[in-house]
Amino acid sequence: MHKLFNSLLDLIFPPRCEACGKSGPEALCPECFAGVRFMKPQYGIHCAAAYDGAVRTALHRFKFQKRKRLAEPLGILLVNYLGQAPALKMKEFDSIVPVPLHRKRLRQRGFNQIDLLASVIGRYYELPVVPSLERVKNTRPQFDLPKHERFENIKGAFRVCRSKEVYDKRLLLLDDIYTTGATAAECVRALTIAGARRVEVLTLARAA
Amino acid sequence: MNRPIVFITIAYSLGIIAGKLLNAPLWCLLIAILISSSSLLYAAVTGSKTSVFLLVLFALAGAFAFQISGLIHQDGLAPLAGRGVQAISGYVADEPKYKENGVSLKIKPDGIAGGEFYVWLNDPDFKINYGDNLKLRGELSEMQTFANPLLPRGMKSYRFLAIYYEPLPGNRGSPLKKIALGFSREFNGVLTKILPPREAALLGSILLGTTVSPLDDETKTSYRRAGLIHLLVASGTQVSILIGVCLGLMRSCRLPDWSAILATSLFNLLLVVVTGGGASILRAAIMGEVMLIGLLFERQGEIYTTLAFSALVLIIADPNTLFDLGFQLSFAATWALVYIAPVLGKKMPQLLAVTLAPLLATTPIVAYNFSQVTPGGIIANLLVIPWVEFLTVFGFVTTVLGFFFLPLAQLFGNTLWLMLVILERIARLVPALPGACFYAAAPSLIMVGGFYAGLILMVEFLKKGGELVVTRKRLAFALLIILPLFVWDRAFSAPASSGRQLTVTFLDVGQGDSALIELPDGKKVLIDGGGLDRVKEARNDDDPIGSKVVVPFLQHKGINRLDLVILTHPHADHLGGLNKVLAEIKVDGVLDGGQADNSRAYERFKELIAANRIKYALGRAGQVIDFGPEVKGYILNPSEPLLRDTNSDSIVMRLVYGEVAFLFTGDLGFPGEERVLSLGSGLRSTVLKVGHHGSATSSGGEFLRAVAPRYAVVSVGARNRYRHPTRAALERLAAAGAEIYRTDLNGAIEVKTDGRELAIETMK
Repeated sequence: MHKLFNSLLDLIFPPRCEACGKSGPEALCPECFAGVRFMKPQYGIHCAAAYDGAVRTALHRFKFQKRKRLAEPLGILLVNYLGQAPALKMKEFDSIVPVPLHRKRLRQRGFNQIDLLASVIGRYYELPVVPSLERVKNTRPQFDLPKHERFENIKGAFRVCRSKEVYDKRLLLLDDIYTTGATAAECVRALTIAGARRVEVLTLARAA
Repeated sequence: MNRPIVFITIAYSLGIIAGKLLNAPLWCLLIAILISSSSLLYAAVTGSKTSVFLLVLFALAGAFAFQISGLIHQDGLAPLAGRGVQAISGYVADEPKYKENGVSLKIKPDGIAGGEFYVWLNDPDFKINYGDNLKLRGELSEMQTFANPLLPRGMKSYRFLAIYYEPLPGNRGSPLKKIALGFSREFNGVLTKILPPREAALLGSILLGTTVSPLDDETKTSYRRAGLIHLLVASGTQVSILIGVCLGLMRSCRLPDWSAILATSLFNLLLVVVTGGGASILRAAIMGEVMLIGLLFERQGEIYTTLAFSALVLIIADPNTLFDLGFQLSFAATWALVYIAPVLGKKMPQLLAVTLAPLLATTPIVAYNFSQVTPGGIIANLLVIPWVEFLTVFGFVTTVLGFFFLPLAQLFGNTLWLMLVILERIARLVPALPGACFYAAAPSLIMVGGFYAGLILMVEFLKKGGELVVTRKRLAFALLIILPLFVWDRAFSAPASSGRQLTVTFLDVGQGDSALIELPDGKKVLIDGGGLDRVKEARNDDDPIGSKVVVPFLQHKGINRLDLVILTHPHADHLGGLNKVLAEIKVDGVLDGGQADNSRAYERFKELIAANRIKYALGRAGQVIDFGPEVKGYILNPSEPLLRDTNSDSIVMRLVYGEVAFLFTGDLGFPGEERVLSLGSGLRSTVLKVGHHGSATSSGGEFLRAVAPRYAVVSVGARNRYRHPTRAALERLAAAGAEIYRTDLNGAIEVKTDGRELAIETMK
């Protein structure tokens, strides 16, 4: 029934590449996918791709136009990256911790894009996704702020809500965009205080 | 196939067109459907390609649906028409239209499947509303339609002459329509408080179409001539704008998505109901709804699919919509904005591209339906398009504001008024520019198809980014494509005139006379213009025969100029339609009988001649008009001193071409016939336009013997109150050996001659 309904929708809304608009069954067409620029780890921070071109468009549509079907290709993008990043051995982690949204924001958007990405990776590597962080401050979006205010803005925004799942665990923190590192740093701080044994940061995109 | 819906829509439309053209019997279609569906099944089972069979199946379904729709529509009133006085009860099916001297009602009668009629009550104070029950006694008759070449026949409709009427208790109107009517009334009420009546009606039409705020025909004509009619009728764009504004507002209220979508959908539905749901509105509404549903299911529409989908919904609901002018114009314009404009935009300023593209795509449709080409539309639209969207939003906001706080709305009204006056000016001035709007013989369907093929080729070519380099090879290729088009066009159109041909068309103008002479050298002469004889004091030039029959006929012929107009005598059924002709078409000269007459219509006729500086002459016996080589017009009547009998003082002209002669007699009666005979000039003619619609006191035996017509044409209305043509006259004509043609029975009568042979074609 669901399948029938979906193919009916496909008829009226022919599936297209979300980045370039070319028609085709994939949410991100092979050309766009192939055009992604992978990045090398810097200062121990792992960012899969540059935040431009197809990744930028796709991520934007994913978050703001709620194209949830983009979770799959973007997740696979991360998996591809992990496959060729020797510094991050997935076997060495106990769980993936997605950067959370504030309650209000989550209600507005209806989903947390990072949760969806995390579950794709988690499925592939058979790692549990554990949302052990909680956002207690509904901060203003980081991209609205100049660099120096971002650290101030995000300070104390996160709290560990499942300390049992954090204490003495090896965690992979996942976020969508890494710009100044303020968000990641704040999360890492919260997790470390809660006693995490090791925390590594992985983001989908790195803004220049 | 990336856009299956587009292909399905095209197949279905082609099927409908084929159904209309071929009109194959239903069992044939059923067999074809059976065959193609079993081939489809076979293809599906064997795993070969099914898409072709699927499309064929859709095409057949289209043809089938079209033919079925023709069967379902039934005319339940036909058996009741012309049955004398009878009692009918029913309810008012539309908003009553009040005029200063009465009210016009559309009635849906009880117990009769399929059919509505109009009734006019001479009582402007009769209070009645939409949906009210009503009892009527009187006579039902079919409304007059006219059968003329190139003009659509007009829908069959009925009129009720009431001798008694009485409102009955109860109301059966649909609540939805009542809401719509109530809204329209309120809306117009606010508008008229903000703006003067003229501008109020104009803004109302721009915002919600002419169903909500009716506009007079003259205004519509001037907008059509300016190429701006889309502002008044095609409010689809406005609907899209309003839906967008509504969704934006809802979302900014931070409501969950589904509720914003639901609210906007309801608003969309309200707009459709209020505006009366013309094809253009429905197109915009469906496209808007697809967008909204896409939002709900996190899908994004693809513009061609969305466009095709909305077309498909409309033509499945009613296959006849495909032939609806509003439908065609709306889809052509939208398609052009999506397909052509972006490509043109690379070669020229964006504004010019979005102006030019819809104009290019709609030109063939307008030319085909109105014989009208409006190059001036480019200028008018360039002047208007930059701010008309602002006018729409501003106008709508102001009107809504007027519901709550009138003074502020009235303040804004001043700005609106200024914008509307500027718009009015543009719509009046642009068509007056030389070459801004002209009439050309309607292109054939093949030419229309060729135009679109050329347009698509051009766009595809530009898309490839090619510079237009004309090489000899390409030129030859283009000619190879274009030339056969003309050949086919010729092949399909009626046998081409062999150059030196004279055509006389006796138009079907109901009770009255009008004939167009097309001379071998291309000159055009119009004798009389028909007219409603009940409009005794015809005001200005609003005679419907002129505006609905004679002028459109001339325009469809592509006639922008008449060399001569002859008014045989100034009675309403000959003169009425001429005023519209003089007002709309350039006329070089007028030949008038000059009989004394003090009607308002004749006064207006003289005014128009003076205002347009038309050469004016009195027609008198003895004059000879040189219509080019071999064609002469001999004026045989009236002669001084006039008989002081307007009918018998009609201008009589004998038109001679080679061995063939036509005798045009106006309303000549016995006294006039005697006078013509006494002058002793030759009368012998092949075709006689019978005097005075075949009255008993014309076409005397002696006169007919002198004329000895082979064919007699009686220009007369069906069931006219003079009971023309009379048996006496018909018998005399038969006795004279003439074959009789009548416009009431035959429709328009077209006589073609090369000076020797003669061919007659009738419309019915």
